[in-house]
Amino acid sequence: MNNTGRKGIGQYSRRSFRFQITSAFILMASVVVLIQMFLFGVAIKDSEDAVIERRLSLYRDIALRGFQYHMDNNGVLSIDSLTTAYKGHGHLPDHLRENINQGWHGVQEISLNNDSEEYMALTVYEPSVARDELIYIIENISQLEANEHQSALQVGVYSIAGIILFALTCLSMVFIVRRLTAPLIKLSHQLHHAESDDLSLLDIPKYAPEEVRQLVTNLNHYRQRLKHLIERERSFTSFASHELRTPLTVMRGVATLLTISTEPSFIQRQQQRLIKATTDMNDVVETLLGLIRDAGQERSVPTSIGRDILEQVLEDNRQLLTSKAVDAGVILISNPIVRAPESVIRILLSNLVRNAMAHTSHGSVTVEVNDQYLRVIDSGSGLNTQSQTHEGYGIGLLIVNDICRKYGWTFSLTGNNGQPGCTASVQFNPGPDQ
Amino acid sequence: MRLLLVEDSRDVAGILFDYFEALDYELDYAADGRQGLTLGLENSYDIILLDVMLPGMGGFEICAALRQQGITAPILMLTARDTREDTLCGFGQGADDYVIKPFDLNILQARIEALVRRVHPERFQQTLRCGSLQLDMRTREVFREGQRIILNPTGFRILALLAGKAPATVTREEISYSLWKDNPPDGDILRNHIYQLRSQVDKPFNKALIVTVPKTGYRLDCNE
Repeated sequence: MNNTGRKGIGQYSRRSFRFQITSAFILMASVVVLIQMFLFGVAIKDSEDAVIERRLSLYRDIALRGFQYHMDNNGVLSIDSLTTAYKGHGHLPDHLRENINQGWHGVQEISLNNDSEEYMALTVYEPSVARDELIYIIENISQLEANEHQSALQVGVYSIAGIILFALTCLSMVFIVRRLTAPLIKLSHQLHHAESDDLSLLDIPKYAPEEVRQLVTNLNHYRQRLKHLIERERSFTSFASHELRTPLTVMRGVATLLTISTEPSFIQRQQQRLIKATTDMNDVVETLLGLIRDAGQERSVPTSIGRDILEQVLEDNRQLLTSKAVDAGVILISNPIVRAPESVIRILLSNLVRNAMAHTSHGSVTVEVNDQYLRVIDSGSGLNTQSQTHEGYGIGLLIVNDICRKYGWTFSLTGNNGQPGCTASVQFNPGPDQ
Repeated sequence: MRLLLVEDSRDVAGILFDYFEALDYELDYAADGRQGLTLGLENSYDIILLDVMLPGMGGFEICAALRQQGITAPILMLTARDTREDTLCGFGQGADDYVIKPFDLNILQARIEALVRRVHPERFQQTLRCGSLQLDMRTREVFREGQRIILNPTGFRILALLAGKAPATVTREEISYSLWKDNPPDGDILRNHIYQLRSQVDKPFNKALIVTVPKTGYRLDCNE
């Protein structure tokens, strides 16, 4: 089974984080325990050897005195039941002489008959006692060592104790890892089990450490931004769909109407509708394409915003004022010249006017223009309701905002200084070449 | 057929007016959501065509409000919003059909007629019956107990309206609108028409079919 995969530029493992961290901890614990056991064994052995060496060093003086006062028996001096001193290599028993080279000098352990007999040997050179010969102090340590049965028992007990200790260590590791990874695992579960389109805020897991809290906070921030972007995209799509389908509906309707009557005034009315529908559609397509093109990709020719455009937009939307006591009018102070297509101006103005007319039940809707700004001032329901998206009618303001950002203008929606209604304002900030 | 159109696009409303007026439909129009709701609550329509993206009040809200107020007229959502969620939302608010723009006017007409046929099957019947009374809608002849009754056009329209909704009561306003639309004549002309109708439909027979419902209107009692 392949446990690794490739995603993007980094490799990843399909094993869980908890499994990986637990495995790593247990492996590390095993290595540490084994090294510890090895060092402990070596230390015990070295300690034993050091004790024996020290004891043999103490026996050195006894042996020298014994040989000096001729207390030996023909070159062999028994120090105690386990230790014997030999003057010269020739006095060593055969089995030892065969395993100790003549001329060897120092301290060593000698094992015979498959470790059934063990000796510790120390050589002493003292010319005043034995000229040209070494004195060998030999201690039979076989009797000091545990026998096979005892050794097996000891090994068994220590092994079981070791295994229990190791198991406890592993369990502790698992427990600690579970505690440490629990907030992360909970977070992962929340994300895994959430619906694909669910971008609600994630809960901060209980006992989460600071890093996990920070991760959840950042994820929530990211999810909120994503949600906002998706909603915005939906609004934009909804706007585009509405604005494109409306003229298409007119075109298709006109095609059917042309088959039901040949009356000249009827035909002329349909022709006018057709021309307006194609103009509307062209405006929407140009505006949408303008919004998605890269900034600076093209510079539009200067367009003068004249009374005819302003009054045409008001007229096109006047049906929104049917049965309302609302006056709509234009105040043209001076003609602004802007670097944007006329289609974009019409869409921008149309959205502002429609929004104002939709929210005004009595009073006035006034379009005021000079070379610095374009304002749509209404006496409607005010800022709180107009800034809210309402079945697509607030989307128009989002599009206005997008257009302004694209062409470097400033859009604002402000109250009327205590008077009813509000003012939507587009400030034509001149670009570097305007 | 009386139809309410709530649509913010003047051009879309224009083609619908041109098409349905040629078919002798009566159309009321609102470009604003609130105005549409007011018209829908105040008047009795055979069908309501609702756009979704409307100023003032959205189409889904209007639909829900009309249903809450007990308006049972078929509602056909006419919208550019084509997602599955939008369609389900429309039906969830009480719409009877959901047509996505751009639409074919002939198909829209067929859908409208299909919806109205479900609510008012009498509009599409060749013969209306109420007890021994029989109205031939094609030849506009009336018979009771086999005898032919001669009615003027207004009398026939009133009787057809009553027979179509029998045994339910038809309000005086409904009859008035059916005869004179928004311009009813001065005086109680309707009472005179009912008097004439009774003298021709009920007087020659033992039992009166036309029943007055006090302060409301009239109905036909078909149990003879």
